[in-house]
Amino acid sequence: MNTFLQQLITGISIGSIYALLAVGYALVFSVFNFSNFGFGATMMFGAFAAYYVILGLKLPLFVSILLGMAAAGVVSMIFELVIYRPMRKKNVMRVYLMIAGLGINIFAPNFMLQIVGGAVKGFPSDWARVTMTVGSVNITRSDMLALAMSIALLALLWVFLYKTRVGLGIRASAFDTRTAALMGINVNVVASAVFLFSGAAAGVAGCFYGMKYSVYPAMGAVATKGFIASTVGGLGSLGGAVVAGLLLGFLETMIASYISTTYRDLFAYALLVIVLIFLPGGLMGRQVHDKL
Amino acid sequence: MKKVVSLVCASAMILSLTACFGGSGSTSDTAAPAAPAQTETKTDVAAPAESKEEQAEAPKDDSDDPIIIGFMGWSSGPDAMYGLVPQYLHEYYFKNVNANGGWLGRPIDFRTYDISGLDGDFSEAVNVANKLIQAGADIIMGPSNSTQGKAVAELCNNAGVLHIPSSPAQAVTVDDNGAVREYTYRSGATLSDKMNTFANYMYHECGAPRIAILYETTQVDCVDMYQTFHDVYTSLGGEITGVSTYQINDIEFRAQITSLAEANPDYIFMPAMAYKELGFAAMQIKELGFDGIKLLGTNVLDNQDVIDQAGAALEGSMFLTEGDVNDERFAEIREWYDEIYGINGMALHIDGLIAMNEAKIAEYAVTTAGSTDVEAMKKALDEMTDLELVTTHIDGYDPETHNLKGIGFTIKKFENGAYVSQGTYSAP
Repeated sequence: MNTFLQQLITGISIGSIYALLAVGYALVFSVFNFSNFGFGATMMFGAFAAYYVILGLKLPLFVSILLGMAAAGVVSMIFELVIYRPMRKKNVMRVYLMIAGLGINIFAPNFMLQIVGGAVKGFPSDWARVTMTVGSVNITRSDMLALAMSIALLALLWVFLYKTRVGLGIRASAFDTRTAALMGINVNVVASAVFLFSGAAAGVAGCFYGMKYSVYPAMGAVATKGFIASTVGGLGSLGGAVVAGLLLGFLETMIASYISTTYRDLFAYALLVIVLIFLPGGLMGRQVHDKL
Repeated sequence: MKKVVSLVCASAMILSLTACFGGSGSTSDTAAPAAPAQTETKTDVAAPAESKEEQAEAPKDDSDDPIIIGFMGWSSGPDAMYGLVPQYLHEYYFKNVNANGGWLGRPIDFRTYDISGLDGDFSEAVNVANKLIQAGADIIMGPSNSTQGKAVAELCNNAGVLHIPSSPAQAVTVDDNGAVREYTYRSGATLSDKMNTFANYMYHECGAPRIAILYETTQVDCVDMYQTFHDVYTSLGGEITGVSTYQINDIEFRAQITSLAEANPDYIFMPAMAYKELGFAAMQIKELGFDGIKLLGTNVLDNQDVIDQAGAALEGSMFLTEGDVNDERFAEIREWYDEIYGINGMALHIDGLIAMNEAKIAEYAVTTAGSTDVEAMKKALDEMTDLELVTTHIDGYDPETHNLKGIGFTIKKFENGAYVSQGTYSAP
């Protein structure tokens, strides 16, 4: 039982990172109908920003997380402004936006590799590494902080989306971008806000990922799991993204623990395929049909 | 205006890419200025023995042409340090060789190639090997992992090109029928020698502790190390309390560690090919509160970067290595490496130094043979009885396996923030 509880906590802590990443994917998809595959790169920049803030400026952990979020948000906005917006204005097919995102995701880690080297860097916070024992279960402060901040951020995001004018604009754009534009909503402002917030979510995921593991140029590869969670949850559904992220983390841990790591990715990707076959809109997503 | 900004940014990205990767896949700056144009005639890489013999019977006319040496390394992505560090070491080495007149009065045309692939895709090594063979390479050095090393060895042996890899599995120098690959000479110890020695050390010198094993299933090197250690340790009477696996590029091991810990092992042995996995595992063992379990690793731990990554979580961890990276014999190399390449953020590591042996072996082959005729170079290596490599002294090659003879091993243990040598050890 103790082992199962420990595995459960491990699964939730991994899942909370997936959930944050999935929310970022969902946010962009809900408005622009494409998945920003540059998300892993954004996450990596956020983690490196926090890392160097602590090392260089000697600022406390919480301040470094906030600055990491801000940096990732700005990077995400720059991607939107420089890469996605010009492409959107040319009305290119959505698939080209995603391919551009894939390009960013390969460019960015290799660029960082040349700038900072490929070494894996331990996140410079002793506070985050302290392990706490609750009953028979061990959990690190960083895991507890990740879970608490994930919940707080998702709550803040909900308030922003449902209680502010910009949030109303985002929701209107998510419903129908062209109509929202005709109604006077500035889609470019909405786009900047969406990329800022999704980037900030990636940044905070990067910080917690860095605390849990380490900071290194290729760390953004984990964003693929966030995309799977986002798809399984229902592309564009924030709630679905959170549920699927936690579910994926839990399933991966249990399969690795009680079956074999050989089957872990097999199950994870089989889950993606099965959900897409039987629930094309995901667990909690809206049904969208392309004209084929 | 925004279009201009977009264009400028896109150009900047492309330019930075070009600047970053200009060295890969092309002649490096250590190359001789008068590098010959690549031949238009394609070499049949799958050529049967006849063409190999034809090549052997028609030695090259040694002129002032540059000696073409290709190096392939895993030089991008998360494990780039295992390709880039040896690449830097080789580049510096050949730069100095060329500054001093080259070998046999001929400059070295040193070409480096990145053979990394996404998610463990090993095919790029084959492409690069074909490219080098077609370009008339005299010697091909690398790679460091055996999955790629085996494939490159097959191509080089079919084409009759001297191949000097640091990949440590026996299958690189000996084919599936047990015959030695004539043109492939390794630059470091074999995994079976290392694991045999390490299992003996743990059993005889550490009181035969209970050991669990966590190994990666993708790379032949990791599977070989697991199998050899497991078989030797249990044949000695040691207890393996459990075995679990992981996949290439995994960094999360808590599920497996928690399961393995149920059998109360004293150590978890991870026969890993990259240090970061060992660093993550050490951190996660500590996070899970299994303070009584220590980590056993491989010589990839002989690297300052893993200490920066995992720090105190490595306390008590041990590994066997064929060269102590802190040894005084590497002081001079460390000095220029840190001064010139330290800015790249990748610490000097023992695998890079083992790869640097390739250059020493190549130099011996060319200068002793007095030419770049492959049969003459082979003869020189076959008859070698004494050579000081970068990492160790060797007594030549075993003709049946092309394994190096006379390599000594050192045991290192993490104590008070650093890996400390526990002395040398040889299996009884």
